[in-house]
Amino acid sequence: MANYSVAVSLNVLETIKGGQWSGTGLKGFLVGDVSGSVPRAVTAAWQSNLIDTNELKEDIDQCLAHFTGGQQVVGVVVIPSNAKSIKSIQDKDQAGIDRELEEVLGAFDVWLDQFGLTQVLCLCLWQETSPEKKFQSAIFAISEDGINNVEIEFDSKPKPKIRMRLKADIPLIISTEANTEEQLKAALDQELVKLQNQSGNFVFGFFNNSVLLHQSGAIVGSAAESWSSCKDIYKHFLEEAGSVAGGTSKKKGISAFFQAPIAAFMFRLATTDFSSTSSQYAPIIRHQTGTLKTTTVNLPLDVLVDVEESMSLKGLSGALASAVSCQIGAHFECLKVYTQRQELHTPEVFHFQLPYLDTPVTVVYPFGVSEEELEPERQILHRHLCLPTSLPVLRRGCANHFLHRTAPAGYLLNTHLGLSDPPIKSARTCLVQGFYSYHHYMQDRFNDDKWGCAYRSLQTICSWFKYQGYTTRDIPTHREIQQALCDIGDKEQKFVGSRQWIGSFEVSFVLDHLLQVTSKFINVGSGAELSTVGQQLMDHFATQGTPIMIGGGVLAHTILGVSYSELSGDISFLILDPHYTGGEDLRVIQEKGWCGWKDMNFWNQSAHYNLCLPQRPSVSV
Amino acid sequence: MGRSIIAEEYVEKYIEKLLKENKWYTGVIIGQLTAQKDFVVHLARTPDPVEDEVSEENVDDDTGDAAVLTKKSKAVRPASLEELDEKWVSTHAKQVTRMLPGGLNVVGLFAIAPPAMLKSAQAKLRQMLFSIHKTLSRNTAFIPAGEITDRILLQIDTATKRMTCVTVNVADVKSALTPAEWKVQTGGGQRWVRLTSQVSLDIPVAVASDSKSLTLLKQLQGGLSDYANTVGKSIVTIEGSLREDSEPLITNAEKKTKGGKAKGGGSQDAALVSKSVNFYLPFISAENHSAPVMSKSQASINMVGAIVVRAYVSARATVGDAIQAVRTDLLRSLLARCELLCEEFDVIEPGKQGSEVYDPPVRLFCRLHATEGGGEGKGASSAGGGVEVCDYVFQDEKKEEVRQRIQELLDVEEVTTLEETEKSPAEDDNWSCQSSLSAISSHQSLASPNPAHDSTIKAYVGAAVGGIVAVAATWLSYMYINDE
Repeated sequence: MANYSVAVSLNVLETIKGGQWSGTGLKGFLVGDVSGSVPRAVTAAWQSNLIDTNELKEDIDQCLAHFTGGQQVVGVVVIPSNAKSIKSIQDKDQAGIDRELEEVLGAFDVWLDQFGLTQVLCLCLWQETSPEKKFQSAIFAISEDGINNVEIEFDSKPKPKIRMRLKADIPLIISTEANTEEQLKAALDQELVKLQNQSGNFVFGFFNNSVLLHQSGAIVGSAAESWSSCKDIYKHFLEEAGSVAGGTSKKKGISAFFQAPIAAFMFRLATTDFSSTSSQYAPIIRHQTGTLKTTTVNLPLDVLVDVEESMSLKGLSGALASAVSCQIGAHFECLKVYTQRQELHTPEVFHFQLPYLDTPVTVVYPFGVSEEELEPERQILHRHLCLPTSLPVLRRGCANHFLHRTAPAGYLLNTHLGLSDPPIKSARTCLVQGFYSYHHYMQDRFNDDKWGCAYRSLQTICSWFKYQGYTTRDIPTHREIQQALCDIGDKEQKFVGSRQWIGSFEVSFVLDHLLQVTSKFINVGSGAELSTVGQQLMDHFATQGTPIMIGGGVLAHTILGVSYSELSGDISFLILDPHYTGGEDLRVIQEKGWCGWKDMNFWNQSAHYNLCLPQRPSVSV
Repeated sequence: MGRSIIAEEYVEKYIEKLLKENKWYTGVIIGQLTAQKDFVVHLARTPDPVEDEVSEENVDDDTGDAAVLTKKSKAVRPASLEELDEKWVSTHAKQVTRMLPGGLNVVGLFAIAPPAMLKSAQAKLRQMLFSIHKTLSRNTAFIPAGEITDRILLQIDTATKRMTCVTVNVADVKSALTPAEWKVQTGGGQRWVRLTSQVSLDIPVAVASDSKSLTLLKQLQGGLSDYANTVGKSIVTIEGSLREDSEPLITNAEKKTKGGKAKGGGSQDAALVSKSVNFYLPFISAENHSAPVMSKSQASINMVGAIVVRAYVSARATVGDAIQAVRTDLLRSLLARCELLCEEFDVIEPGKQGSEVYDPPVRLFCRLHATEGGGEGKGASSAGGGVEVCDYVFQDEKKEEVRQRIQELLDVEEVTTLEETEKSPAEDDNWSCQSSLSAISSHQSLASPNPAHDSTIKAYVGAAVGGIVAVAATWLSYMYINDE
C-alpha cells in the first residue's frame, strides 16, 4: 500500500474540525490543488449534503463557484456511521476502514470520474467521547487500487501562485409578458443555455488585449509567440510593470508580499468555422409584439484564477473557462433568488481572503439588498465553509482588500506588509488581524499638522472596523469626530471646527458613539513601564486583533503589533505613525520608519501613556 | 494638392463605349478612397427614373427610398441632366452601396453629356454629390464611414471627349471644387486583397413602449446601433494574427514571394490574395455596478444566424484599413438585409400582439467584371483583380431575377456565376421543427422548403435580355413579387 502525502495546514484542518458537522455519511467536499491528476493540497472544505450522486456535477459547480479558478474538488468529507467504524479508523484496521468507506461511497470509480482524478481524498471526522466533543480526523485516499493511507504535511510552504483577475460584463435583456416568477425563471434559463452554448467561444485577453488566449490553448499576439506556460505570462507582466514604474521607485521586496493580479478580459469569438457552415444559417428575425416587461441587466463577472507557473497555456485557458462558467451559474442563481418577488438584482461578486482558509473565497451577492437582509444567506455560507458563526467575515465591506494595495479613496492598506520581523530572540509576534488603512497628517487636502494625530489614529481604527465588516459607516472626518464628541456632551459646540487635540478617552467615546465599539484601557505612569504590558498586548492581538491607539504627552500613535519574549522580557512595538505629512509612497513610509518596529527607546520615558484597546463587538455574521 | 485617382482599364473602356452612344448619362463611381491614392473600379449609369401610374404618394421620407412601384410603372427619361431628380440618383447610390463588399463604396458621380448641358448642370451635379452623401449616411450613422469626405465628380464632354475630374468635400457645404488627377492604370490593374469571414450573431432588441420607432426597420436599427458599438470595439485578427493598425496589410515577405511568382509565372499576376479574418467581440466591464433597468416594451426582437463577410482593400492598405473594411461590411450587410426585408413588408400594426419570424434575404456574390467565359477571347478583363459584388435574395426569388437586378443596378453586361454563400434556414426541412418558435410568418415559405439548390448556377445570358427594360424599374425599387 503506497503512501503519499498531501499538504493541509493546521489552520485549515482546525477550521474544518470547527465546522458544524452533524449526521453521518457523505457530508461535503474537500477543495484544493491538484498536480497532474493527484490531489496535492487541501485548502478548504465545503459542507454540503450530497444526497444524489447523479447531481454531483451541480454540487461541484456550486462549490467551486466559491473558490478561485484553478482550485478543484479533491475529495470528500465522511462522518463515519457508528462507533465500530470509528474504532476501525482509530485502530487502523484496514478491513474495517474499507468496509466503512465502501458503504458510504459505493463504487470508487464514480468519484474518480466525477472529480477527474486518479486519487480522491477522503477526510473522516468523528467526535471524541470526551466532554468537549471535539472532532478528530483521519485522511485516506481512494484510487482504483483501493484505499491508501495519506501522510499530511502540516507546514509545507506552497509555491506562490500567479493570480489573474478576469472582469467582463455580460449584458442580458430579458423580456417577458408578465414578471411572474415562472416567466422570469424560464427566460433566465433560456439565457443561461444560450450563454452555455456560447461559452466554448470565449477567448481571454491579456496586456491590453495585445495577447489573446483561445480555449484550445492557442495564443495570439506578437509578444506571445514563444510562450508556453503561465511563467511566460508572468515574466511579461513583470517586465510591463517594471517599465511602467520606470525605475523611479524601486519596489523591490514589497512585490514579494503583494502582487497585483494580472488583469484578464473576455471576448466572444464571433467568427464561425467555415467548414461547419452546414449548421449555420443566414439570420432570421424573431419579432414579438405586445406589452412586454423588459429588464436590462449586466452580469459583472469577476473571476480570480490562481495557477502555478508551470501550468500550460491550455491548462490556464481551461481554468479560466471553467471558472467563468461556474461563476455564470452563480450569477443566475443569484438572479433567480428574487424572481419570487418579481424583481431582479444585479449580481455582484466579492472576494474574501479569510484567515481560516488557504484560498480566497468568492461570493455573489445581489446588488441593492442590505446586509441585514443577506444575513440568512451568510449563515448558510459560513456553514458551508466551516467558518465561525460569530464573526462578520463575509460581509461586503470585508471583500477585495487583499487584491489592492490601496483602499478606494487612495489610502494605503496594511502598510506593515513587507517589513522584516524585529530582532528579538525567542520572541513571539502578534499582529493586527485583517485590513486597515493608513491615515496621517495632511490627507484629504486637510491641514491638521501638529494637532490631528489622534484623529488620524482613530480613523485607522475606524477603517479596521469598516474593512472587517462591522460597520458600513464611512471613516469619520475630523469634523464628524468633533461633532460626535459634542453630541454625547463631552465637548461644547464651539469644539466643532476647532484645532483642539483629543486623547485616548475621546477616541473610545467616538468609537462607542459612532460604531458601538467599546474599548479597554491600559494606563502606564511612564513610557518605561510599557515594557510590562507585553503579555497584555499579545493577548489583545491574538483575541481581538484590532489596532490600538496610544496617547502620551502630546503624541498619539497606533500600535499594530507586538513582538515579545516571555523569556527575556524584550519587547518591540509595530508602530503606525500618524504624524507623517508626505504622499502615499509605501517605500518612504517603510524606509523612514513611519510604519515600523520600535523598541522601548521610542517612548518618552517620563510621559504618562493611555492605551485604548478597541474590542470587537459581538455581532452575527 | 488635389487627389490622385487611379481608374482601372475597364473604366476607360466603359467610358469609350458610352461616348459612342452619344447620349447624356449620369451614374455613380465605385471605388476606394485612401489617404494616398483613390482607386476607381467601376462606373454604373443610373437607370432612367420611373413613374408609377397607379399611385405616386408612397415615398418614404425616412429612408429616402423611392416609392414602392407596381408593375405598371414606366421609364421616364428627363430632358436633360439638370432635370434629374436628386432623390432618384441618391436612391441608386444607396442600392448600389448595398451591393458592395466592405472597402468599396460609391465614391462619386460621373456625368457624360454635351458641353452646354454639362455647363448648365454644374450646380446640380454638385448638389447631387451632397444629396448622395446625405442619403448614404442617413440611418447608418453606426456604420463606420471613412475619414475621407472628398467625393469625385467626373465629367465627360461628348463633343470633345475631354474628361474633367474634381473632388468636393461633402462634409462641408461651402467647400469648393478641387481639381484632381485622373489616371488610368494600364496592364493588369490594381491588386486587391480579399478579406473573408463568417460571423455568427444573436442580437436582442427591446423596443421601449414610448419608442417613436414605429417601423420594424427603425426598431431593428436601434438594436443594430448597439451591436455596431460592440463591433467597433471588437478585436480583429487577420490570418490568425493580431497586428498593429499601422502595419501594411501585405508584409514585405509576402510581397517578395508574390513578386517572384509574377515574374516567373507570367500573366496571372493579379492572383487574388485572400485573407481570413476573425472577429472577437468584447464583454466590456464597467467600473461601477448598477441596479437592473426595468422598462415596458412594445416589442422584443432577436436577430439570430450567421452571415458571410467579405471586403476588399488595395494591396497597399494598412491593417487598420482592412479591419475598418470588414467591420463596415458586417454592419452594412446586416442593415441591408433589414432594409430589404422591411421594404418588402413593413409589418407593424399598432397594438397587435403575437410573434412572427421573418426570413430576410440571404447574401450571394458574383464577380463585378465577368472574366471571359469559354467562347470568344475578347476583352480579357483582368481588371478589378476580381473584386466581387453581392446581392440579397429572398427564398421565393428566382436567380434570374437577381442576375438581372445586378446587371441593371451595376450596369454590367453579364453576370456569370452567382455564388450562394449563405443558407437560408427555410431550406432545411427540419428547421421549423427544431426551432422553438411559437409562430412562423405566413409570408414566408418556411413550412414548405424548396428543393435543394445547386450551390452555383451558370448563367445563360441572352434569353432574358428582351425583358430587361420592362422589369428594370421594378428591380430598382426592390419590389419583390411573391408567387402566391
